[in-house]
Parts: sequence; structure tokens; C-alpha cells
Amino acid sequence: MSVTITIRPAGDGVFERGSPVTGEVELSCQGRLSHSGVKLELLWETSGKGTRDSKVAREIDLLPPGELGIAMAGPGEQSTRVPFSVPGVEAPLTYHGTLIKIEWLVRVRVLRKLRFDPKNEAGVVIV
Amino acid sequence: MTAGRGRALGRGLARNPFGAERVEPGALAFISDDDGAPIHLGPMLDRARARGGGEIRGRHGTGKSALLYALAQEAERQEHAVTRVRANTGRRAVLAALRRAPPGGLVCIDSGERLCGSWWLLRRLARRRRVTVITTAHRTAGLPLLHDRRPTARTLQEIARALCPQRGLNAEQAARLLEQAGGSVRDALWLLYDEAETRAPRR
Repeated sequence: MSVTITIRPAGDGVFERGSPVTGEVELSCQGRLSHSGVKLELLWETSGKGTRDSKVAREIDLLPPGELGIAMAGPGEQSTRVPFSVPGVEAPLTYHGTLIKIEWLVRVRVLRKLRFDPKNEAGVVIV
Repeated sequence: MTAGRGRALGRGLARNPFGAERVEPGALAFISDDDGAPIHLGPMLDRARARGGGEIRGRHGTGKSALLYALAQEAERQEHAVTRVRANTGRRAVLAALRRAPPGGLVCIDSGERLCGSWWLLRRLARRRRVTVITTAHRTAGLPLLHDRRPTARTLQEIARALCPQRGLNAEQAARLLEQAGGSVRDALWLLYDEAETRAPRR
């Protein structure tokens, strides 16, 4: 199972504060895969020299519970593409300081009961 | 993650190879002994269980918490119940963790030096509950010694190589940095963090 996040419009992944963060998620799997929903989070996290912190600013349900890979019969990798648009955020802005950095991320998780949740992250810049 | 770097606020690196997220316990894929060779966690864990617990001793920034984290991960990999607790959350939280742990389980106490007056009680409770306690400590907590962390320049060199191969820290530089940091690998890594920021091209 793989999760690929493409930030759109293609370019440098920069979004003005308050404007929606948009893109597309591609979920690929071999055969069928049942899940308890696919969640997308827009979050910030700090890095640098100090104690780390993070906060999920927005969370949306990308897909309701169901099955992936049912569109095609038979073996082989099958993929589902889901476009997304997350309401914009005002603060904190992306910051690359020498002591602290603030990064914004889009994280997608495929929720699976009693299983490891496949996930992936992509960075965006909020200015 | 570096997309749009030119437009982000601030004049630092987008990602510093020696940032907290890369040096915190659990972030490095390996844990080395004083000479930079990987430590075999399984036998160390078996030793702790056989002796009813153990302590990882060492000064500030010598990798005690990193080793404790790796041991907890190894125990989880072996499907043992692991309870993690930080001693700076207070004696009550540590006692609660010991009471909560199932018999035969492992309790990992980080910053155990903060419980200086309570170890007698904690050891007694662990024995009664039949749980194995592993702690980090600056001085002895009265548990059998598992590992005495005394990192050398080689340790720093190996860690720096894993974090940033391009930096190419040689033995002499590593020894100088470690001396400058008073023997603390963590502080030496912070010096490398500052160096990376200073060398970064300004926008």
C-alpha cells in the first residue's frame, strides 16, 4: 500500500495565509484493502534546537470507511486519486530561523483497525 | 520540504541535519557503545530481566535516554509489555506507572536521577509487582549497572556521519568538539547545528 501526495497547483508549494491548501492524494494497493477511513491533516511542527511541538490545525475526512482497489478486478496494483482542498490557516507562518523552524505539513493516513496505518506527508509553505 | 524555501520567513536553513528531530531519542537508527560500534540490545535486555532491573549511568548528553528508548523498542519488538515514564513528571506518576505495569512487564524510567530519595520504595514496589525497571541516572539508583555511558570522539564521529555524511567530521575535529562540549555528545551536536546554520548561504 502506498500513499502519494501531490500539492497543486504544481510549483513551489507556497500558499498565502488564509488561502486553501489544495492537491491530490493517490492511494495505491495490491488487490483489495479495507479501511476505517482516510484522514487528511494540515499541521505545523517545530524543529531546531529546542523541544519539539506540533499541532493539527485542520483535519478532513478524505474518504469514508470502505475498501480500496475495488474498481478493477484481478491482481495488480490499483490506484485511487482523491483531490483535496483544506480551508486555509492564518498562523503560524512557515519560519526558517536559526534556532527554531516552523514547518507546515499535509499528512494523509489510511486508518486500519488493529493494523499499521499507511501514511505519508508532504511539506507546504504558508506565507 | 525545501519547496518555497525562498519565500519562508527567517534566514536559517529549512532543515538542519543536526536539529532536535534528528538527534532526539529514537531518531537515530542505531545506538553505539563508547567506541562507536553498535550495541546489541537483546542480550542487554535479557541481562536486565535476569537481574530484576538495571540502570544506564552517565553524565548529561551521553546518550542514556537514547539507549533506554532503544531498549524499550527492542522489548516491544519481542512483544513484551512496556510502560514508559519520565521522572520529571513526578514521583506519583512513576509509582502509578509501576502499579499499572502487568507482572513480567518492563518499566522504563527516563531521568531517574530526579527520584533520588525514592529509589528504595520504587525498587520494593517493582519487586512486589514482579516488573523489571530500567532507568537512566547520573549516579547510582541502586539497580544493577547495565551500561555506563562514556562516549568518545569516535561515538560523536559515527553519529555525525549518520546525520550528515557530507560534513565529514574527522577524528581530530570530533575530539575537539567533544572537549569543547564538556564531554556531552548532545552539546557537541548542538555546536554542529550552529556551525551548519552559520555556513548556510544567506537569502
